[in-house]
Amino acid sequence: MKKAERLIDLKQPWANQLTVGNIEIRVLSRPKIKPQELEGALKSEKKAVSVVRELREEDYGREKRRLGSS
Amino acid sequence: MDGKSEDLVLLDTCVFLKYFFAEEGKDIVGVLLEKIVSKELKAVVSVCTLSELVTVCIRSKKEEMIPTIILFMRQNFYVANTTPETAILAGYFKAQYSRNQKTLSYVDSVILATSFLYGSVLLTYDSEYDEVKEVGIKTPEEYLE
Repeated sequence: MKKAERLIDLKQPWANQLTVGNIEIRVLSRPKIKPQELEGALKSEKKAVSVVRELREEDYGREKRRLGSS
Repeated sequence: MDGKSEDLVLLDTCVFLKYFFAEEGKDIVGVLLEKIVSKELKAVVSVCTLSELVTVCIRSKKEEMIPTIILFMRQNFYVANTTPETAILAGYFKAQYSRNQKTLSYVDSVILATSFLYGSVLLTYDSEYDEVKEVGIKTPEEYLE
């Protein structure tokens, strides 16, 4: 650990890029996704509300059968 | 304020899908999402919505969008788990609002309970919540006007 501390001279410990000898170290953060990237990303012939309603009613129908209620 | 904050919103799945399907009215959802991304508005999403979005991606043969959508959610929304408290309250709401031919699915009930516990406004286009009194329910258009 002490050896590593000696080798790495962190003059700018907040920097997201530094070079140790021949090694370049970069801190990579995942890119921030913008809403525009998701606009129209999915396709459906049905409306959003219908898709969700059908999805939830699939479970509701199964639940009714399981509980034996009408 | 009755423990509720107008600055905290919970988005139902259909709100995201309207934007992801680029349906008419998507621009309003776009404005809403921009406010959330810029931290002008705090937003919650239920884990149930993540499940539904994954299902819709797979069914619409857009599986490759799943990581991007999930990352977008985690970067910008507080992802609310279904805790025992949520589950118990969801059971209450389901019993309360599934009478006289009207139904509330478990996912509807969990989303409603999550919104109640966070004291948020529930933003949805779904009329299933019309009779709900305990939580403020609005469409994105009503919320932003």
